[in-house]
Amino acid sequence: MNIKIKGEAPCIVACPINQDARDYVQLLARRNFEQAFQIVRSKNPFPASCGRICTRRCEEACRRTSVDEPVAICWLKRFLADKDFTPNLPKPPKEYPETVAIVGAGPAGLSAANSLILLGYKCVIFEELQEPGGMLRVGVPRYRLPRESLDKDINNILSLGAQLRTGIKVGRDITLSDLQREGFKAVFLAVGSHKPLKLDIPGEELPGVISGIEFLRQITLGGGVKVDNRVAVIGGGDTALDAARAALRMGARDVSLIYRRSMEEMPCETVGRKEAEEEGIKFVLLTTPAKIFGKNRVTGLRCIKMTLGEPDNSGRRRPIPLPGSGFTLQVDTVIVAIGQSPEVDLLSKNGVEISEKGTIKIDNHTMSTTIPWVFAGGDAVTLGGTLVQAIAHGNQTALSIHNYLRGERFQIPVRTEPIKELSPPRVQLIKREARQRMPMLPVESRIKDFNEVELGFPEEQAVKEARRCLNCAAGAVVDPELCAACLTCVRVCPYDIPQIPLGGRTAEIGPDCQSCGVCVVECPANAISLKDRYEDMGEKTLESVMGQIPGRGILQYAPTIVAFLCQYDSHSQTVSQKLRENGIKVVEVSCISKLEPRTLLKAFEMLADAVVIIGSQSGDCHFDAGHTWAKRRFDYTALFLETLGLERQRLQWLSPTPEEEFFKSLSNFVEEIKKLGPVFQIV
Amino acid sequence: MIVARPKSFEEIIRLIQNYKKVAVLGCGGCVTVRSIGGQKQAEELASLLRLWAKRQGKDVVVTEATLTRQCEPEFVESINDRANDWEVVISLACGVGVQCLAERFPRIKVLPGVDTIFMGATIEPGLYWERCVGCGECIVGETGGFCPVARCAKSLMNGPCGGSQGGRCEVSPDTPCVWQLIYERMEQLGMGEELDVIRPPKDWSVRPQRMIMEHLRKVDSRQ
Ligand SMILES: Cc1cc2nc3c(=O)[nH]c(=O)nc-3n(C[C@H](O)[C@H](O)[C@H](O)COP(=O)(O)OP(=O)(O)OC[C@H]3O[C@@H](n4cnc5c(N)ncnc54)[C@H](O)[C@@H]3O)c2cc1C
Ligand code: SF4
Ligand code: SF4
Ligand code: SF4
Ligand code: SF4
Repeated sequence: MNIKIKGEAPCIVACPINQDARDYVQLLARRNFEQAFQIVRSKNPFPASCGRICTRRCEEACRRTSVDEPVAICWLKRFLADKDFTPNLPKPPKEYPETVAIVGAGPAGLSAANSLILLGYKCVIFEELQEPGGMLRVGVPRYRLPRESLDKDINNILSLGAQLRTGIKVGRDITLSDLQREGFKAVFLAVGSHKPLKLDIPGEELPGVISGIEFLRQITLGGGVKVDNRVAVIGGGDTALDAARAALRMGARDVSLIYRRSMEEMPCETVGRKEAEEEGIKFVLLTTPAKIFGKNRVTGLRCIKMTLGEPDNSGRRRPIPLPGSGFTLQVDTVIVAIGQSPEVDLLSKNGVEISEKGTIKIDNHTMSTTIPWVFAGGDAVTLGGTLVQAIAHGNQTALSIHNYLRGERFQIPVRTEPIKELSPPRVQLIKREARQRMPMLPVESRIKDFNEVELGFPEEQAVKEARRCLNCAAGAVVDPELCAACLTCVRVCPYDIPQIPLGGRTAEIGPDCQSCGVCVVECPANAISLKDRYEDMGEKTLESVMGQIPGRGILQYAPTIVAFLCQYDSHSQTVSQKLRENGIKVVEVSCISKLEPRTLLKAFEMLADAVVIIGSQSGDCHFDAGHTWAKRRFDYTALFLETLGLERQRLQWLSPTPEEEFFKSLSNFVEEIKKLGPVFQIV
Repeated sequence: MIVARPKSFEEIIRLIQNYKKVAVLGCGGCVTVRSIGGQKQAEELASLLRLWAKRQGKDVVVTEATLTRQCEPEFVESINDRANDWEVVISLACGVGVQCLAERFPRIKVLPGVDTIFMGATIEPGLYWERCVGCGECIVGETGGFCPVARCAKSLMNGPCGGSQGGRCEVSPDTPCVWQLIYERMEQLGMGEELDVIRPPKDWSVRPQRMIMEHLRKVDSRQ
């Protein structure tokens, strides 16, 4: 096969765990939810959590952005995770004798456990807290990540067989050498980053001043934390934002978020920021705290206005104080959420080397620390880490530990390059289809409790959203052995994709292919196929539905009718159900432009008495031109039937809307076919 | 390129009705390029034949295959093994391809599935027009790049005739009069006078044509 497409869909490349976003989105679009979920789970042990709070690098890279907006990949993952499928993971090819110790049951540690078990190792996870989950449990609040979702992910991992020992702090209750003595052959330090950074301003020790993570942790673990009316949260990251929104839910009336740069530089997620604004959080920007007032308790916060100067080494513009701009805010609680660093003192006493930034020092490829049998990852090695980064480190470390234990050299995985952006003229040819909006709790009710704010897509919305995916780098491919350079594909493609390069002898189809299937059907040489392994152009589905035809009696003749149905149509579910109720065999295709005349003929060969194509009204299509092409093939096939002397009515085209009319035409059609009798007089 | 059109289905079934083992053979050359006799069309015809047979209650095995080009002995040879299973072959290649098959497989009845109509060009997708008849003595160098043999209804060597009306040929208003085109182009090229010379009639006597390229012929290594 001439797979000319060099490079991969950017969503896949951008993801730290190289999650096959395109593939599961494409499967979801075809309502193959279970398989889609298994694809997600094969690389991501935290689908329910990631589907809610991931930082979505895939969406940042999504090529659909140049057409309208990125595909809501993350919310689609959540939709799949919420379906509660049981993960179907491959059994380890081999069982190894070694047991690995994992320190910290956050996402990094649990992901490593997941991968190590699938590789054939035993693991024991040591966790300081009473429950696993790390920052996902004690940091991220429930209104963004409900406990049930987190527990589902964790239980699925633990059920693979990792042993969890809670209430043990490694370094304090047990040392690294103890672990080695107990027979652990490798240790993974996934201790996260839980030590809050201080402002270093006067008054920070006053009651009423609390760190963001301590505040959030107490909310989760029930430390009896309270807030008063007026709360100031200092910081611009996710922790600050979450602390502010949590404070609101704890009963604060007035919550201000104080950040020293402008909105643009804020490191927190934009989605969360919008939601916070809706909830009434005040953003006090370009402001820095100078002093906290109060006698026995906080009463005020002295602030200074800032302006932005030259970019610093983080690339963001450096805030500079404006002289004489001081002002005081009346507050009762100050939450400091300006970042955290890993708690490494104990580990460093155990011989683990620490970097200048205060993180555990590692080799970026092997994840190993300066002690060969000790590895580290997640927030413990990355300041400002994310969930997916922690998962990536967990997965990567598991492989590295395997290599270490088996004495194999660590192979650095080759990263494929992402394919280029869509060219501007092509963008014009692609239909605009707005991103689906996430259903959310109304603001008034959501600030009263910690119920989840985002409600998740209902099925129809999820499917519709998934269909926006352009199937980047997985479109049609030409077999050069078969191509006759006839130019048909070049001429029929609605998106101007195929080309026969100057001096070339075969057609080439680039990564911008939209997978509409028009050229696949039109190629006279059968040289084009869709690379997507989930696309069967209706052929295999036809075989499987026709396999179930019962033997036909002479006394009771019931016609066999096959319906080819466009999945992209928004009515497809009702239609499909109605068809099945009428005993009609349904073959769903992602756009009827993928139907080959030979497939329609094949239905008759497989003893269909009639065939009906149900396509959306033109204009309602994902591929507008697909409709026209499908109509042409319909007419072309009708001529074939005529030459066979078959009644014209045996091939019908019905539109699914308006619904009532469709139901009427359908029953007329079925009646008509009954009257016509079978195509073949065989018993 | 060679342009052909499908024969009517009635004609095809009339020719094969007494056979039980039928093959439909596409050609990967000209007829594929025109979407007339490629793999897809071979599959479609085979499918139709099976449906027809089943409806007739006949027990007919129909297979399909596509040769890279039916006008080359090596490619024809490639179906040698399978040919034993066939009584009749419907070739979707041009007349050349059909005859190559017939010559190679004397035991099999070889039938054309298409009518070869002309050598022509794509004017636009889906529209092909005759441009050359293979007369053996090309004169378009003298006629401004337009062939009067192929494109004049009467193949006049010294046109136009009285049927040239407003630049159109009297046989059809869709057909430009090629002699009109020839005159316009020759004037444009400043070669108008050349058309004053009367061209002698063409020599149509030597058929079939035959061509030998000595430098490409087989070398007998035993010599
Ligand atoms: C408020 C907040 C909001 C966030 N929002 C997002 C978001 O929206 N999206 C996103 O992608 N990321 C977000 N993050 C970041 C994300 O939660 C972390 O990057 C991720 O949890 C890091 O995983 P980890 O396993 O490395 O560490 P952690 O999750 O911190 O887990 C470390 C675990 O190790 C345990 N531990 C520590 N020391 C020891 C020891 N010595 N012995 C035994 N156990 C020990 C800890 O108790 C903890 O359970 C957020 C973080 C916070 C705090
Ligand atoms: S359009 Fe689909 S395949 Fe392309 S980048 Fe976006 S999600 Fe990935
Ligand atoms: S349609 Fe098929 S045979 Fe024709 S150029 Fe394209 S790939 Fe080649
Ligand atoms: S016709 Fe459709 S399938 Fe073929 S190259 Fe164009 S977009 Fe891709
Ligand atoms: S057999 Fe005819 S149609 Fe096929 S390649 Fe040769 S000339 Fe063209």
